[in-house]
Amino acid sequence: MSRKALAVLAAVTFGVSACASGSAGAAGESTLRWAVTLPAHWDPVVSGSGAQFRILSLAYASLTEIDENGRAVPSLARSWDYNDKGDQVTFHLRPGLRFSDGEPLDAAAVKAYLDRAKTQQNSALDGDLTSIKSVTAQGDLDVVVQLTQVDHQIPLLLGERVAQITSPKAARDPAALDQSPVGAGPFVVTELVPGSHVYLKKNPNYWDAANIHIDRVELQTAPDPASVVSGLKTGVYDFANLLASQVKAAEAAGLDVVFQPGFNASNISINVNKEPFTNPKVVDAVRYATNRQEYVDKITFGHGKATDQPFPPGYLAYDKQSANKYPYDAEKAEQLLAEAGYAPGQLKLDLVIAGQTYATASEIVQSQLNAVGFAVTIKVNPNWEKPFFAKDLTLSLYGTTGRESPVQTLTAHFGPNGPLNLSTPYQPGGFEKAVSVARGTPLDSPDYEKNLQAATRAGLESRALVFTYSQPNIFVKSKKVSAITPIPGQIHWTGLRVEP
Amino acid sequence: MRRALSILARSIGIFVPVFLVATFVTFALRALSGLSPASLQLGESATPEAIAQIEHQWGLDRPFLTQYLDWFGDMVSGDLGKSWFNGADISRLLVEGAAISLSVAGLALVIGVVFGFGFGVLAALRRTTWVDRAITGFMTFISVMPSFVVGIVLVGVFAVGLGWFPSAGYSPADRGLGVWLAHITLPAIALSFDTVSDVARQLRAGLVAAYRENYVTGAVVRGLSPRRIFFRHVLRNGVGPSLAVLGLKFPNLLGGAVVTEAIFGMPGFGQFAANSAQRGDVPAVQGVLVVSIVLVVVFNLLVNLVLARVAPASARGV
Repeated sequence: MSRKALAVLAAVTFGVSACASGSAGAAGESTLRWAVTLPAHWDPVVSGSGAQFRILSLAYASLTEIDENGRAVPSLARSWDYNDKGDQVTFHLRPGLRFSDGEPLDAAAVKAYLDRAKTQQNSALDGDLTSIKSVTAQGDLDVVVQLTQVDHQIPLLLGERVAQITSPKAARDPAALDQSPVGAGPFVVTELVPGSHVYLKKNPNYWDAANIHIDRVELQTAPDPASVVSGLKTGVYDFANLLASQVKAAEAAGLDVVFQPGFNASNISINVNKEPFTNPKVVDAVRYATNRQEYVDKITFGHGKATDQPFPPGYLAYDKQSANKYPYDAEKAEQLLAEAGYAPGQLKLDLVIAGQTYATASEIVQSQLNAVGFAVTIKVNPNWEKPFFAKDLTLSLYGTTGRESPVQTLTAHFGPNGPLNLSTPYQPGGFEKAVSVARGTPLDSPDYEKNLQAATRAGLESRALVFTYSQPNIFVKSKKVSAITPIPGQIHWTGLRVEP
Repeated sequence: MRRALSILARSIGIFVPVFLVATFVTFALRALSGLSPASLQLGESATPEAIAQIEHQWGLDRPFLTQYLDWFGDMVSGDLGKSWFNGADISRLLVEGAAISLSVAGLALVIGVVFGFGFGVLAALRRTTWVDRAITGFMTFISVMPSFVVGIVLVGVFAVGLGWFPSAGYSPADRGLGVWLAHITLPAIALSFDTVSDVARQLRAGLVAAYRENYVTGAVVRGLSPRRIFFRHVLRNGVGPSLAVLGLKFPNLLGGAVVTEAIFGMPGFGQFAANSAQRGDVPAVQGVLVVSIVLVVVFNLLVNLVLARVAPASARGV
């Protein structure tokens, strides 16, 4: 009896496997299947996290974009110009743009979006928009942005992170928009189940639709990191985010590993308003105790770079003069700690972290600091955001995925109210002035890079941050997917091809 | 029929207080842990004022009992509230996830029952022979293999190596029965090992014990056919423990889904539960708890009913 049952089961099982490779897309359609951590929010105003904008860029187009060198280039806005003083900028939209719900994407829609980003209660962007005093629509196509100060960064600011324009009609119900995006991006969402999958199809009305060669995008929730490679190898996915630890396996499997340039930088966040960091010698001890290469080796598996600035070396705002100002020197750190009056093991500190993402980094910090005489205890707080952004912690870890505007990156880290400045309202002397000069320098001025680096140098005087390492954004793709344009921090869908 | 009703009534009598206590405790845990939707929703703009405002929006500044009773009232009417993480309707997410997990757990259960009974019966019929020893040894071996190890090996062999099955993902049954089965087969096999071995070993022990009973010897003496002896006398008396084990296995299948679904990239109930718990998405965890309790209780009820039908003695000592 059991033999018969076995035979039946075997027949069913193997019969099934024959049709295992069936795909949902129609024949000849070019489909990109991306295994990814699905965004919690589809309203760019509340999304808030750097990595999520990359995914939202499927459904939303932004006012500007950046090119491979990080320069602002046209997108929904065909061009822009500043007034002579530099405190007003007018964006000229492309004519005839439409959202996927049929609403016109005109100057009024852009104004409505920026107003909403500034005023909506749960906006994650209002802090980025402090330079914008008011927005007015001039005719259908001209958006006039009045600034609170001279600021030439606005074309960079109003890119993917801050100005993914939403349909004003859909935005009347922000909660609904957050669950089902309505934009004017290269793709339109056809099915969205939170936490499970999102299906999109090509948007024929996208302004650059002629250069979008993918018919369909399927976002699938990413499996365990250990299964990502086998998923790509067997063709379940075409494209996925990859952990540094899986790079070897992916390469061994014959897949394309893509190191997409980025602005990522991780840091040790210090609160100089709290003991013991009110004593600059203790801060210096942390600076000298930090051996960045260990982060590069153990977290990025050698694929990242050590950095002592809020972006990777080589970035245009990276200040070579300040590089390696505090080289790793354990003895000096020990001595500084002694000078500050602490015997080895006497200075007990809690390193409070958000969770798994920072587990390895926290252990490195702990071992490096304890080696020079601190007594660091790691505390995981699932509610980490609460005390961190209330600036209540003394020592923590955080990082940035970067911003298109380098000045914005600097103020976010070193400014008195910067979200990454754990020591609010502290800011290093001279930073305000230097950053104002950088902000006031036109992007095409020959002094731009110099002024930017001067602002970085002033910011790096901050005792609130010790930068550690920078990891590129690592992706893995099958050979079916064409090369990805190396736009820093982003993925551009224009020109990308997937063999059907 | 009366017996079935009394089992039903008794089960509900247990279910209601368990349910009340369990939901109350989870609710109290939120208050104790101080978890807040603000962490999930505000990110870099989590100023103290914004946090207070969000907590007010979610009604977390109201008295604890009011919150609990409100939630309970909504829950009874099928509304489990909205996720702190993405504002989505939790009932909907749970239904989506449960469809996936129940597909896998259901198939794992079928595999568990078919192979568990098959091996158990075979071992009992050939007791003390090399067949019995081999089966018992093999069952011991697979019972200690965790489903995530089995899962990774299965993917390596049958998906990557042989290419018979997709290595990850899920496709609902309405997209094609074959594709659906192909996606759930490997995770179901990975999940079923434990059930197969436990059912087989319990069944073997139960049947071997039943074969030693005097009434079996009597039946043999009376010249009844081995088939009749097996089905009428042995199986019916020896199957009880393995059915009871099956009742215990169902929560394990749901629990095991947490790991298996992660490996196979299936957005099921287990993944949802694990992710929600890790994020501190309290309403979602409460929803998971409600559905788990209902599923486990309903399944145990079914097992008890079957058990009462097969082995009436079992109904005496629920």
